[in-house]
Amino acid sequence: MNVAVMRWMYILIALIFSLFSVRSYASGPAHDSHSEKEEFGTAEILHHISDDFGLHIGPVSIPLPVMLYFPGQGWDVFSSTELHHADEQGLIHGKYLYHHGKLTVAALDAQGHPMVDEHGHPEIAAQEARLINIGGKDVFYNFSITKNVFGMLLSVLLLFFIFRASAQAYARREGMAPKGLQSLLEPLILFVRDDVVKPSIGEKHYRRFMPLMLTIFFFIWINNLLGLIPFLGGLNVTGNIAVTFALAAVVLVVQLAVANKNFWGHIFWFPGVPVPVKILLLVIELVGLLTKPFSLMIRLFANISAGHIIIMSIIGITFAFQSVVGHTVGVVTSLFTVVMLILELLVAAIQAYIFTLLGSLMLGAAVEEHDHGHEHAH
Amino acid sequence: MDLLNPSIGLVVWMTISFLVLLLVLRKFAWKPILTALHERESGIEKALQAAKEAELKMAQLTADNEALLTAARKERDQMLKEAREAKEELIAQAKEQAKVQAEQLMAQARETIKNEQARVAIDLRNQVAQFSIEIAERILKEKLEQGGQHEKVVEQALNQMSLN
Repeated sequence: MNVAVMRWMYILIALIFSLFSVRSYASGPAHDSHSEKEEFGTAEILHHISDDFGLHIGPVSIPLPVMLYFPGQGWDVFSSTELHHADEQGLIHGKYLYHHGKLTVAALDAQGHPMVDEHGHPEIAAQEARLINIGGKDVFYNFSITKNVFGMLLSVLLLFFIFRASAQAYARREGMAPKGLQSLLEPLILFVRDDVVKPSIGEKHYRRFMPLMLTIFFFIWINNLLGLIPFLGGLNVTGNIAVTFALAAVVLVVQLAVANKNFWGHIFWFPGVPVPVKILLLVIELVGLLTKPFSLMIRLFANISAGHIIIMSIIGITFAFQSVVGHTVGVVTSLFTVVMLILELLVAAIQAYIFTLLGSLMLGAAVEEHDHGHEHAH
Repeated sequence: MDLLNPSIGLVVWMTISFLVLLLVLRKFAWKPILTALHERESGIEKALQAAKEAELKMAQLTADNEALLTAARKERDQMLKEAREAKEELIAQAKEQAKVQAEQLMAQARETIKNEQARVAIDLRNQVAQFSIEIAERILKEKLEQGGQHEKVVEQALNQMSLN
C-alpha cells in the first residue's frame, strides 16, 4: 500500500515539475527576443542544448566568469554580463564578437574597425579551440565557467556530499541495517557492483574498477537528472559532446593502462588464424579499439541531447500554433511534455547504466585472462 | 557544427573535475562503503554458516544423548538381571547349606541315639548278670542253711528284680 502511495506521489511531483518546465521553457526565450513566435525555432533549441556563458535560473540571469586564454598573450577574464554590452561597432572589449552564443575575435583594420567580407559578414581573426579545428584561424582557449562547467561542478559537489554522508552512515551505523539516504543508495551501488561491473569484468579483477565505474554511473545519472530539472538554466552537461568525450577518454585510457598481454596479443597478432587474416584482424581490432569509446561518447551525447530537443520541440509546437488555437494546443503539448519528461527520467537512468555496462565490458576485455576468450564486441 | 565539436576548455574542465571527483569519492565514499558492504555480507554469510553448524552440532548432541540413554538403560537392565541372578544363587546356596547342616545334625542325633541304645543294652546286660549272680548267691546261701527252701528264695529274688 505504501508503495502505491509513493508511486502516486512521484507521478504528482513529476506533473508539478513538468508544468513548471513548460512555463520556464516558454519564458526563457521571451526575454531575449522581441517576437517569440518567430524566434522560438531550431536556433533556440540548439542554443538551449549548447553551452552558454551565462546561467538563467528561471527569470534570474546569473553572471559567470568568462576566462579566455590566448597562447602567447595570456588570460582575458571578464563577467559574462559584459557580453550583452557591445559598443556601437558591435564589439565587446573592442575585439570580441558575440553572435548566437558564439564568441569570436573580430579581424580589425588599421583604424580599429571590424572588417567585413563581400556578404557583409564580419571577418574572424581567432576562434575558440575545439577538438577538430576547421578554417585554420588562430585559436584561443575557452576556460570559462560556462553553464555546463557550472552544472558539472554543482554535480561534483552534490555527489561528494551525498556519498560522503552515505559513507559516514556506514561508519556510524556499523553492523546495522541501512537507513535513510544510505538505504536509498545501497541498492544502486549493489546494482552497479553485482549486475554491471562484476559480470562484465569478472570476480577476480572487478574490485579495483569499482570506484571508477561507480563514479561514472552516478556522475552521468545525476547530470542527466540535473538536465531535467526546470528553472535550473537548462543544464545539459551529459548532452555535451566535450563531457562525453572526456568520460569515454577516461575509460579508454584506463583500458589501455590495465590491458594485459592476452588483450594486446589478440589485437596485434590474433592467435590461431593464418597470417593474412592476422593482418586483417590487426586493422579491424585497432579500429575497434577506438570505435568502442567513440560509440560510448556519441550514444550518451545523442540520447540526452535528443531528449532535450524533443521536449523543446513539443513546447515549440505551442508557439507555432499560438495565433490559431494556442491554448488548446498548449494543454495538449503540456501533457505530451509530461509524458516525455517521465520517459526522460527513465532514459537518464538507462543511459547511465549503458555507459557503465559498456565501459565495464571494455575494461573486462582488457583484463580477461583465459587464452581462448573471444572479444565481446567489434 | 559546434554541437559535434568538443570545446577544449570544457574537455579540460571535465577531465580535471571528473578525476578529482573520482579520487575524492574513492577515498571518502567508495572505499568505506564497499568495505562496509563486503564486511556485512561476509558477516551474514558467517552467521548463516555458524547457524548451520550449530544445528548440526545440536543434532549430534541429541543423537549422543539418545545413545547415552540407551546405553544407561541397557546397563541398568543388566545390573538388575545380575542382581536377580545373584539373589537366586544366594538363596540356593543357603538352602543347600541348610540341608547339609540338617543332615549332619540328623546323622549326629542318630549316632547319639545308637550309642545311647548300645550303652543301655550293655547296662542291662550287666544288671542282668548282676542279678543273676545275686540270685545265685542267695540260692546257694539258703540251700546251705535250710535245705529245701530254695524255691521260695528264687521267687523272692525274682519279685525283687521285677521291682527294679
